[in-house]
This record gives sequence, C-alpha cells and structure tokens, in this order.
Amino acid sequence: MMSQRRLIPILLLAAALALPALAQQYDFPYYGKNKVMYETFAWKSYATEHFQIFFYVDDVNVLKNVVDTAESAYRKVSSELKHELADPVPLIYYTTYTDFEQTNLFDISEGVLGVSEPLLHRIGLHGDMALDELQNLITHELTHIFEFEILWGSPGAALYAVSQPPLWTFEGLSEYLTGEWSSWSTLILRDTVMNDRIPDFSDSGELTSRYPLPREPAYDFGHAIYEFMEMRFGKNSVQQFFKSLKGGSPLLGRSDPLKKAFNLEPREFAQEFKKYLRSRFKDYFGRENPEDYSVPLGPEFPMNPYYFAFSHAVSPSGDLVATITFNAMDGDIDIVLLSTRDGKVVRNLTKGYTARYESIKYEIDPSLGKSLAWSRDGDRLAFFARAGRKHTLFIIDPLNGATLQKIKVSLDQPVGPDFYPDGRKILFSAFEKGIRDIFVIDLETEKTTNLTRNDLYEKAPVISPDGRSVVYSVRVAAYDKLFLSPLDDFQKKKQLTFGQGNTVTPEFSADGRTIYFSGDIKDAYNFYSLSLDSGELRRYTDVRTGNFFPAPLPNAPRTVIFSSFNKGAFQLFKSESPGVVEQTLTFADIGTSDTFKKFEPILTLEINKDKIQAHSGMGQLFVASRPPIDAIVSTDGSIYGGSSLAFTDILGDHTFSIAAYQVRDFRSIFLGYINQKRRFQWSITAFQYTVYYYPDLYYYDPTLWSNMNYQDALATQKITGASVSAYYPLSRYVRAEGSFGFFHYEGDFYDPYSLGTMASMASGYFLNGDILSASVSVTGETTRFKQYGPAAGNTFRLALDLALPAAEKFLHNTTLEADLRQYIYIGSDFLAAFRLRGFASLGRDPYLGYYGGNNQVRSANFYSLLATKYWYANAEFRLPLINAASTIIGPVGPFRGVLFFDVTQSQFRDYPAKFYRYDPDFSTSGFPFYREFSAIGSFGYGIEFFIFGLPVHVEFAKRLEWPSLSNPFGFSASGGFITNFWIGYDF
Amino acid sequence: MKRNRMLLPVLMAVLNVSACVLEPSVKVKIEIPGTPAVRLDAYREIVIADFWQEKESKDFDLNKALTEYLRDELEHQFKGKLSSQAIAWPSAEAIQDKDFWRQALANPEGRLILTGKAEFNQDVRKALLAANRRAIDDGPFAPEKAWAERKNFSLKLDIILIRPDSGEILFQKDFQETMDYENKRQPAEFAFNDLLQRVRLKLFRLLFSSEKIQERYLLSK
Repeated sequence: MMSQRRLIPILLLAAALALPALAQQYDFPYYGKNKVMYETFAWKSYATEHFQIFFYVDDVNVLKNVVDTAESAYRKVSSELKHELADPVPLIYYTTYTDFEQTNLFDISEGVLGVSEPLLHRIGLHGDMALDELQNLITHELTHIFEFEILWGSPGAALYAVSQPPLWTFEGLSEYLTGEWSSWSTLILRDTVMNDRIPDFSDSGELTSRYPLPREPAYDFGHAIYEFMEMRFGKNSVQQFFKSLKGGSPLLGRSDPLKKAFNLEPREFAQEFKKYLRSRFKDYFGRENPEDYSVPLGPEFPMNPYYFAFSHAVSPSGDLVATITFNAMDGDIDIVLLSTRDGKVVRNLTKGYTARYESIKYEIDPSLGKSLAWSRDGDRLAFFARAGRKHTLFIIDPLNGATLQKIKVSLDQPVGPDFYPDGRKILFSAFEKGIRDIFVIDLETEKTTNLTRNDLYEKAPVISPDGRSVVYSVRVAAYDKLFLSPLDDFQKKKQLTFGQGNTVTPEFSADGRTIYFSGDIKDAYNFYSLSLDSGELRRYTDVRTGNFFPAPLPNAPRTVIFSSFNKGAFQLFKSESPGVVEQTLTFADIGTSDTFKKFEPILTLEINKDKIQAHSGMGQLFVASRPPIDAIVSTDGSIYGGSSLAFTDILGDHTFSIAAYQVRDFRSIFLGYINQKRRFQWSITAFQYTVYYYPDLYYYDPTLWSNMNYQDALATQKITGASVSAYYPLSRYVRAEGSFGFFHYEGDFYDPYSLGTMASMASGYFLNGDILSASVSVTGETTRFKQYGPAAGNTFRLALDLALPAAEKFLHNTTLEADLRQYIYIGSDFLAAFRLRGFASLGRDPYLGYYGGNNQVRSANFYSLLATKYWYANAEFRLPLINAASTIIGPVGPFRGVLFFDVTQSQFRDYPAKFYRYDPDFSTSGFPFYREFSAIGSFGYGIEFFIFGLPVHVEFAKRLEWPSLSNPFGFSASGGFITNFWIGYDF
Repeated sequence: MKRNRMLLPVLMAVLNVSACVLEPSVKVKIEIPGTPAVRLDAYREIVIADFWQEKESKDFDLNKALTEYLRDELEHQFKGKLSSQAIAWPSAEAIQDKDFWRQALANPEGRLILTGKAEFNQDVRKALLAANRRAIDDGPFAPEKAWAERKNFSLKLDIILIRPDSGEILFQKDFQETMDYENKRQPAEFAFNDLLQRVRLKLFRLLFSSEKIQERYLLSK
C-alpha cells in the first residue's frame, strides 16, 4: 500500500520524465509537499514462532518487549478466535512516531499508532507508549490480521476479495480482543448513552451517528457490540459471528450476518443493543451534568467557530484562560483566549494560516498533561507544534500571538510544558528512544536535559508556585498515580495517590499547599483536591462523563476552571463547588531502591541474539496492490484497455512497476523502478508512448467513425525513451529534482501527400529527432488546502531543461520554466491568489508552449496561444457564496465566487512579440486590418461549484489589450463578456 | 376474405402460457417454526457427562473442550441449571444400559443427562492441482507448486439425552462433520471448535425448534 503523499511526487516525477519540458499540470495543478525520509534505518529482522519482526533499534530489551507483547497477543487472539495463522506476520517496528511517519508502507498522520494491511498481512507500529499500551496496540493490529485471514485467506488472497463487511465488525473485534476500555473510549460511550445519541445501523450495516462524534463509532461502539454479543449469546458467539461474515456477498446486503448468527433482524439487534447499553450505564443516569454544578465558559460552538477545548491554562492573573481549540471556520487548530468571567472569546492568538509550523500539538488523552503553559509573569505562552521532522517549542506573546522564541526539540511527542518560576526554563515530558521521561529545556542555551532517565513513564509535570517541588504522574502497573518530587531531585519521590483508578492532570493551588487533579476512582473522571498538609482528599463532582484539568483561579481560589466532556465535545466550565471529603491519605516517601509494579505480558521469551539478522537487499518481492484491469471492446472489434502491476519488497523501499495501456488515441508501455530506501531517492524508467491522429473524414460522413481504429490513423507520433531521475527533499516543503535521459521523437504520416505538405511548412507538426535531456528543478509548496482548493501559503517551481547537443542530429535547446504562486487568506474562506508563470525555450530547436483558456488567460480559447517564450500573470479574489446545497441530485457545493484579472505576453521564435486581432472596423482606416498589441489579458467574474467532487466553473471574461506594457494603464477592453465553462482545479 | 383457422388456437395457447408465466408473484422469506424433539423446559437441570471415545485425542482434552462448549452454548438457550459430571462409561454398549444410567446420578428427578459418543480424526491429504492459482502472491520469482496439501479434520458425534430416573433415551442423533484447512498448522482444538459450531446449529435446531428460513413465492392474484 503506497501512501498518497509519497505517490504525488512520484507521479510528478514520472510525468516529468514522460514529457520532459512540456509538463502542463492543468488537471491537478499542485506540486505536493514532501514526505521526508530523514534517516536511513539499518533494518534487522528477528523470527519468532508467529512473527517476522523488523526493527532497527540496538537495544535488545526493546526487541524483547516487542517479542513478548507480540507473542502474548498472538496467544490471546488465536485462542479467542480459535484460529491459527498460516504464515508468520511481518511486524515492522519503528522506535518512535516520527520514525514511523517515514515509512513507505502506509500514509501516517498525527495520532496514528499502528496500521495493518490486508494484502500482505503486514503490521506497522511505533513504540512511543507504555508497555501495556503497546500490548493493546499489537493485540488490536494482530486481530486485524486474523480478521483478514479468516475472511479472505492467507497473504495475497485479498487480491481476490469481493466483499467487505462493515467497519465496526473489524475495529470492534480488534478493540474487544484487547480486553481493555481506554478512559477515552468509555467517555465517548457513556456520553452518547447518557445523551441518547447511540449510533444506528445504516442499511448497509455500518454504524452511523446523527451527532458529531470525536471518534469513528466503529471502534468504541463496535467494541460494545461484541461485548453485547458475549453477554447475550455467549462467548463463542463472537468468533462464530465473525466467521459467519466469510463469503458474504456485497450484493446481498451486509446486515444478513446478524440474522444468520443471532436470528435477529438488524433493527431488532440494534434495539437489543441499545437496551444493553442503557442497562450497562444505568447507574450513571442519576449523576450530574456539568451544568448542574458549574457555569459553561465555552468555546460555545456554533455560537462561535471554536469547537472543543483540548487543553487549557489559566493566566497568572486569573482573568484569562488560554485553550487549544478547533476552528471550524478555518478548519485549523488555534489557541484562543477566553475570559474567565463570562467565557467571551478575547482573542485568537494563532489566527489564519502560518508556515511557522504544520500544526499545534494537542493531546486527546488528558493524562499526558496540558498542552500549553503561561509564564508566571503572564508575558509568555508556551506550546509545542510540529515543524519539520520533530516538534518545536514555541513561545508566543499572549497579547498579539507574535513568536518570541522557538526551539527545536529532538525528542518525540513532547507534551505538558510548564515554566519554571523564574521563566528561564521549561519542564515537559517526552519520549527518548521510546521511553517517556521528564525533561527540562533551558531557554537561553536551548539545551535539553533528561531529569528522570528511567522506565517509569512519567508525564504531566507541574511545578509548585515556590519552584521547589514538582507533581507528576507515573504509570504504576496499568494506572497513572500522582507523585511529588523535589524539582532538583527526581530520585526522591513521595506517592500521593493509591489504589485502583487513575489520577491525572495535576495542578497546584496558588499557595502551593493543595493539588487539584482528575481521577476515575468512581469510574467516571471527577475532579478532586488533595491537601499536602493534612492529606484530605476532597471530591468536587459526581459526573456522568468526565472532568479534566481542574485549575483554581489565582484571584479566586475557590473557583476552579476545568474541561468537561459533554455531548461529544470538551468544553470549559467554571465551578465553585465546595466538594465533599472522601478520605484522608497518608503519604510516604519512596525509597530509591523501591520498585514499582510494572506491567508484564502473558509470555516472556528469551531473545537469542544469534537469530538477529541484518536485513539487506530487496528480499522477496510481492504484488503491491490489486492490478487494475481496464478492457474495452469497440464495435469494430478493437480491444482497448490495459493494466499495471507493481512489486515491492516487504519494507516498501523498492518498487518495480510495469504498465501497458492502449486506447484509440494513444498506446503506452512503461517500465520503472523506484528506490525509496533513503532520503535521496532515484528511479529508472523506460517507456514508449504513441499518439494516433485521425483524418477528419467523419465530420463529413459520421458513419466512418465506427469503422476506424488506431490502424487507420493519419499520423502517429512515437516517443521512446529511458531516463534516470533523482529526488531529494530539502525539507517537507522544498525539494530538488533532476533527471537525465534519452528520448527519441518520431512522427510518421501514413499519407505521403500529408507528409510532403507538412514538411514544407516552416514548422512541422511534430517534433522529430533525438533528445539527450538533462533537467533540474526546485519545487516548493507551503500551500495549505481546504476542501475547495488552496487557501494560504505559497508555491514555486523553477526548472531548467537542457536538450544537449550530443550530435548534430540531436535536438538542442535550453528551456526555462518558472511558476510562482502566493495565496493570502483573509478569513472566512475569502482569499486572494496570485500567480506568475513563465516559459522560455531557446536554441536551435525550441519546444513549443501552448496555453490559454481555463484559469490561465481567460479571454483566449483553451490552449490557443502558442509560443516559444511566454509569461502570464493572474490575480484572483475568491470568496464563499454557499457552503453546501442539498439538491435532488445530492449535495452540491461549496459554491464560490471569483473576480479575476490576467495578463500575458508571448513570442514565437524570431517573430515579433505581438498579438494580433482582426478589426473589421472600416471607420478608422477605411479598410479592415489587423491591430497589434504588446499584451493581452482579461478581467471578469464567475462562480465555481463542486458536483460529484469536480470543480465546475462558469465565468464571464472580457478581453483586455495593451498596445504597450510600458504604459500599464494604457489598456482597453475589447468586445463583450464571453462565457466560459470549464472543469478543473484553481491554481 | 380468407379466414385463418389457426388464429384462435394460437391465441388461446399464447394466453394460456402468459397466464402461467406472467402470474404476479412475490418472493418472500418465511420463518417456519419447528417442533422441539424434546421438551427441555420440563426439566430443571441438564448434566453434561463425559462422551465415549474409542481413542483418546492426543492434542487436547476432547471431553473438556466438548463439555465447556456445550455448557457455554446451552447457557443462553436452556432456562434451567447446567452442570457437568464425570461419568465413566464401562463400555460403548453402556449406552443401552438403563440400570447404569439410573445409578449415574444421586438425585435424578427433573434432570437430564447429555452425553454421547465422540470420534475426532485428523490427517493430511495431498492433491495435485493443475495450476497454482496463488503463485502471484508469492512474488514473481517464486517457484510454482503442483502439490497442495490440506489438513483434514472430521468429527463424529452421537448426541444422546437420557432420563436418569428411568435410564430411557429421550433423544439420539448422529452428526458427522468434516473440514479441510489449507493452513497445515491448524491446531486440532481450533478445528474441533469449528466442527462443533456446525453440529450446534443442527442440534439446537432440533432441541430448541429454532425457526428455519425458507423462500416461498406468494401468488398475489
């Protein structure tokens, strides 16, 4: 499976090879960002009874953890599903998330922990997590492999699969077999049950929710469905049900298995399931909603565009609370300031789009700690954001959002920043080589130091107001417990919370004598306070769902700001609840030699170091995906169509591909090899491409159309070539590319008369001859896209192509191309877009450039302008009209408006750089004549709307003419508005 | 004007065929209730006893697996109590020995014994395939294989329900199931489970009269 982001540069590369200098990207006019392979991993492999583990970490203990958890997961899943896999599972283990992102096998986005694929039954995952979480992750992904094999057979058999059961049958079973409910999952489940928002089954058997859910319902509700099956029909029913999905026909409806397995119609099953869920959570119905004991602060979507409060930090003055939220209007994560008095949005500190970072880092799991922090003087706000390979610590001015400082962090998944009282350092937790520790970063020297350096999985550190101690959580067995340590010595520690349940998101009171935190001692997360003097534990809420990040206001210590999950989203609330005393705790110092109970997998196996093998070369090759087969038989008996086939190695570093297509107008054969093992990637390709041109007799006798096939072509142009290409991403946004190749252009006329006529013309119809081509280009794209196209950022491409004069008969020229674009996002989907595009082909045999029409020069017909040198410039103002319209043919939209202006100049070889227009007006000169202009252009307006995903444009353009561009305002408009209709993407 | 004498018979024939073919009908699925072979609700407890095996399975404890499976499955169908008890059969013929079963339980009133004979076998079978249809999955350079091996499992199960107060056999039914696996590592215990599931479907249909779904055509005229 090849990732989409990886695919785009490769496709562009292939396109650049096929048409070296004339690549016109009018179909999808974007260059794409880069997926950078920052490191070349030295892969090793280790075979266990049921896995082939690929890894590169040197620490054998890490390998042992993977082996133990993987084999433990296998034993569990195999015995539960009563199934044995036929082949060992390739498990590709990346030490960290940022390494995992570099995989060639999957398209990994932020938050993805692991992936399993149905074709070759590969599992890919990373190790930035605690061991018990890794156990659950491997169990989840391995269950998918069992599912694939039960449904479709051993590796490769998915190529023939025709049916796919609903998503919940897969994800639900995978979650169910972990045997665990994460706090996040139970929160979602409980919230939907409490608020009567349980998803329903669609006709196709999928789970659908009428209300927004923060997670695809297939996971948590699928998990609950399997639990329901076990409770209602017995433990065997789970595997019986899944096995009954095998062989299901997509034509017979996906809901049949419910009837087959349980003799219940889907509607009856759904009803029984809902009853089960309500019964399961009936004890919670008597508990409180956040409104019962607090005042909502916001963000109040849809009253304002901000949805969700992922994390928050109260300002030192207590007047403001900064929160990380989703800006639904811009489709972006923002940091906004809310008033703690009334919840009013005071300011969006990260308004609009920026290229400073890709995205602000936030965590959906509150136990990792808050994602932003105020300095104690209130002058700075710190957060982490993704920028480049890893994350960067950003320190911004809370008044205007200006960046005051940014420091690159070499660690993985940094979270929970907290300023030291003197403001010179920041404490946070992060992963170093797969182990989470607490670190300090010096803001002056920018040096990072590991303060804990152990395997206790510490997180969410918060420094006391006096700067002497720090409270944080430690993973003890499978629970997070709070600990207190001197800030300068994490070896000394005092355990603050005990027993069953998690205690997370600690925060000191302003006097430093009380710690507020969130705990699920009563199953749901409530917020508590713990007096460090008396040990008094006070609970403030008895909530149905969950409350997190309690933070007392410095200026009103009895008022606590917290986030609560309610009706599918986190929102901030303010409470002055007095709370109830639960118990009095006694704390004890933990000795340095004391050990904590750790999670242990079911199986522990010895690692035989002699069995560790270096993985080099390609190894066995596999079919990468189901080959598309296109076949058309025309009424004259001609067979058209084609297919492509790609083979890759197990890690996706090497890809061989072959493609052959033939339709009426062209025939192509393509052979290629791409090496993606390193950051520097290269490919070799060979191709032959033949274009068929037909006589226009069918204009006079349409019946001839059906009698002509490619053998009746009037002329053909055949391009045969081979090339070597290279691609090197300088960053996620900028890349350098180059290629060297030989291409043979051969035009052929089957009618000798035509050949003679055309050969006598100044320019032949076809380019003929050999080309030894060398090209280099630099491409950059920071552009951020929304559903309608580019919204902000910039794009550029500079390319130089040389047709080298290797011999006299070789074509030779020098071609330069430039494409510069800038997008200025104004807000609310209003934006200005600018483009300058230039093309110049110089030398004895210059290439021709065709342009015009669409969104290039709108007053000219499509590709009607022909030149060896040209440039054109566009300026557009794009605005929203209708976000979506529900029509009888389904949803159509968004509808957008555009005001445009363009101008162009061009020159054909040695001819004057002029445009001509036939002017039939006799009044000025007494006879018709051609008027000449130095430049032409257009202005006008139009609308764009999306139908079936296609951008359709209807525009009204008027031609502009400049006698001389030395007088840029000396232009005149010519004729009336012409109407253009075209389908294509905005530049 | 010449009159066509054949017109009327032809017209009649056409109409007749049309009446047969074009009769409007609706395809429906109907659930046909069955009659339970035994009124299990008349009993307060089912005791699952050991099954007779001609030869012990060396891969796993067949009696244990069978007892656990039946107990789990019956738990969701049978309203009464379920228990299991090791009852050692002296011989295969003991099935007909009413005295033996009368003495098997201390308090036989309202109880039923579920037992029977079980035979579970496995072997590896080879088949010569004309072409290896999955050669492509092994990569372009993998050698083709002409032989295909299948692991075959078979289960013969004679299920018997006995009234311990009289030693009388209330219900007896033979089931025989076989399954082939391409996976040569398929454990016997898992295959046994798959075979048991097939038996369960048939057995429960008889014992609990679960509905059969059948297709019928309703004439709407």
